[in-house]
Amino acid sequence: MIITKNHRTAELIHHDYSLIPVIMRFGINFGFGDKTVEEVCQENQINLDFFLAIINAFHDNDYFTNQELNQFPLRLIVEYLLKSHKQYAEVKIPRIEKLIEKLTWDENDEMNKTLIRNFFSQYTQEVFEHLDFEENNIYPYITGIEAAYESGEISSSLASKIKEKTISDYGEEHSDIDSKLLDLKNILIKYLPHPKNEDVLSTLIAEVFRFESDLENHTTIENKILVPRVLEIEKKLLTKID
Amino acid sequence: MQGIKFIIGIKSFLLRSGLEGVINEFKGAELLASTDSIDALIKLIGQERYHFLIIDTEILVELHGQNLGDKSKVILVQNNNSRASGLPACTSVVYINDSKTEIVEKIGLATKAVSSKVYKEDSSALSEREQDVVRQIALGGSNKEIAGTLFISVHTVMTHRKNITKKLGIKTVSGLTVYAILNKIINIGDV
Repeated sequence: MIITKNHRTAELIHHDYSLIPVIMRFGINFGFGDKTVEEVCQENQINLDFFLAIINAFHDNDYFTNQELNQFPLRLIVEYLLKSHKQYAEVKIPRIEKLIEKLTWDENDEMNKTLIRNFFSQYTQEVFEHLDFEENNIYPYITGIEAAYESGEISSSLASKIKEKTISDYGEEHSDIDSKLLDLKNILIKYLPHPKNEDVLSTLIAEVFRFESDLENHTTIENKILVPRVLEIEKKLLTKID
Repeated sequence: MQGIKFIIGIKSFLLRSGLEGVINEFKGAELLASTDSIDALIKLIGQERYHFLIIDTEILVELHGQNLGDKSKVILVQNNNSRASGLPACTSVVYINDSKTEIVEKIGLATKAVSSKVYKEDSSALSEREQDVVRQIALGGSNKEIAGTLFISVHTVMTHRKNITKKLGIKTVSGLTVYAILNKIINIGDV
């Protein structure tokens, strides 16, 4: 299904509940009655076309090959990615941590919990380092070159940054973080002794999967939309510099 | 269905998409290619290392006489009508009126022999030597150090590591450490 502005917002969630965090990220709250996507976006001062493009991309991964997301200013995409970062740090990761703390075993309770807790905290540390790097280096650079491209004014510090080719190395950065998450899933599913409260473990596993698929979409936006657009702008700017 | 590779060659778009959907739902199955072109298919049969070829009768007719490869690897999709004469008999036949369950069952059955073979290659229990390597990894050893401790070459250590990751589904050092402690390969105090 391709989601359009005339769909009722409630319908979206009935149709695909994995869209909930995406909708929250845009600052839309529940209780939208029968309002359409268009109405809800208007009320919350959200760029309707951008909202539709993001929501469709999450809903159907094939949509990423679509050119639709290419028409938006990069700063809009960056702003959205920053909101996701915030949600990871404030909601998704703490939720997983809380579930880990709730696990209990008859035997080796403390050891099992410590192992999972430490492993997850090593993982989140890497995630946060990566997010910080994006927030402090990559994103400002991207909005910077977009502004330079639009105004035609390129500062010398920006020019030297373009020549450093920061962006082309950046796409390969995600791999170790991904491996850790994969390891975590296998440890939880295959190797952790089953706890007294099995229901907590199953919620935890489901939550890790949800987090992973959200991260995957996040990475796809970065690698398929952001990076190619930046490379294109860099190329155009470089011809001006030389 | 881990690691089983399929190629689909079907003229009808609807049928092809349907079977792509079925194959993609099998966990671990790999769809190498899907095409409606006979030329592309002949090329694929020659080049790719596949386990199964899913084709319709029309393609089978066109392929007949060409190199169809190993017949036992063919899964034929046909109408409920009886088989067109003069064509090779295929052991696995899916009818277009089959329910999803029937199709999944038939493909599952056809792949069973191959699956157990592929599965055996990476049966998940670690050998004693691999456990030694996991212990050393968990203790923080580099490939070179592990090679020295276990009197094997660095190359052998790397091969062990690759196999361990394949068997356990765990790749990172910290993940392997958790595994080693949970399975009492080392004590938590040793790390």
